[in-house]
Amino acid sequence: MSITVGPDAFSLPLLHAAKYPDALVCGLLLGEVNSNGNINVKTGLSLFHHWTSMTPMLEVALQKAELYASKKKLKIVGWYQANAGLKDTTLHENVVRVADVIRRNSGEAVVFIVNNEKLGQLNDDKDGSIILPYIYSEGQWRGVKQPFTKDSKVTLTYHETYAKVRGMFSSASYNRVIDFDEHLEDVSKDWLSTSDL
Amino acid sequence: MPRFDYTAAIEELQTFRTTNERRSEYVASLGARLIRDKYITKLQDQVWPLYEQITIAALDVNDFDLAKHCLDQLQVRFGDGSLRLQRLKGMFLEAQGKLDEAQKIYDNILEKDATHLLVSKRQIVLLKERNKPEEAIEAMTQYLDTYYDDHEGWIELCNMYLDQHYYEQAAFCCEELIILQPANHIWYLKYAEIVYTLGNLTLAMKHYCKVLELCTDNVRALYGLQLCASKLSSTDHAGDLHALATERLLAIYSKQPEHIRQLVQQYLGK
Repeated sequence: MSITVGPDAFSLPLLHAAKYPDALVCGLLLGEVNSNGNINVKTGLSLFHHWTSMTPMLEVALQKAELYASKKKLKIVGWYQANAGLKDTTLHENVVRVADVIRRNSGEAVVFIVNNEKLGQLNDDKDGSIILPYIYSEGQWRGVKQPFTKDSKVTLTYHETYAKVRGMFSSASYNRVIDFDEHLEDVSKDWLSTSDL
Repeated sequence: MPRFDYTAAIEELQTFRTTNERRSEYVASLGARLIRDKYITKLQDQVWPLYEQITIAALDVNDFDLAKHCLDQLQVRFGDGSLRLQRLKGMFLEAQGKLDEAQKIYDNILEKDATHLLVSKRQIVLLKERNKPEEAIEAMTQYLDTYYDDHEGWIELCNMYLDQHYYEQAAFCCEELIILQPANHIWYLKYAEIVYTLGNLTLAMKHYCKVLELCTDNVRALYGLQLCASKLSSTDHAGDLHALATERLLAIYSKQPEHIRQLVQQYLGK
């Protein structure tokens, strides 16, 4: 299985994490699954930055996201998360459960875990392991080794992705990410507009 | 280029001290500006809590130079005898990852004043930083045995339980918060979400209703109420509550752009 990742999908988890540096943040990845089971991750939707252990708003968000995705001729193809602990790159149990649901509904799925420590090294790091992808194989979610390198299962579609992300960080674009939590506090804030960043 | 409004900046920083929001990037940059432009030296006694506030914000954004500058000013004014200053020095060490040294400072403070609440709490946070969530929970519980009306403590304990997925214990913490602050709709909202997660939809629905009594048209509660009512269709009132929540949500979204309204209508099945 191969996974290609567009610049919006790559940058959104990082920006969302940067907006709430002390919190766990999470969201959905949207894209397409082709007949060979390969995933093209095109964009994402930011969901939460607090009360992340509780389920009602997750149910609401998932249903809405499904409606939105189908309107855009996309599918929900994955989940992203930046854990609260600086060095925590583990796949939490509830993430596994959501990811399993996504995989069953869309056929395939991928999970991006943000490597928080690398957020501070945007200038040096070229191998892209600032995001750790997990895919499901042989009954388990497994981390992909050496992602975003030339021969990896997981690659970027746009070769300037990294420069683009650096640019967005310099201009503090992360402050413009609006997630579902923020939308619930003020419905005039559009959580579906993240692709306009 | 518009002149930087120093008075407005000072007022804004004062507001953040009252609301206790964590806007560290912004606070640190405002603070740095006030210091750089030497405006801060024009304030009189107001300046000391400001230095404290900027120190903490600076630590949050890893600006150790800024934090050190503020600590130096506080040192000159208050000296080694100030426990409040010692606590800030402890936090400085924490931010640098020097947890053992920070621990020593906090131990010292508590020797001199065993009732120093803020430092007791920093001790608990150290356990979190050392990745010992069970011990942190234990310590927080003990703290609350003594200071049972410290609502911040209950919030923290609730969140610690939620992080470990101990939902029943987290629910208990919410119950304490409801007792302490019965007019604050947030605690009922959090409780509703926790018990929903535990599968108790009837109890969740009841609390979502309470939220709406205290805070009209709270969107999170309306979505929650609609969700519960749609699953409890056989219960009394569920049908009415479902209709009410749906109606209110449609009304709230009626002023939003077309594409957003449409999605909500679709979601609500209208």
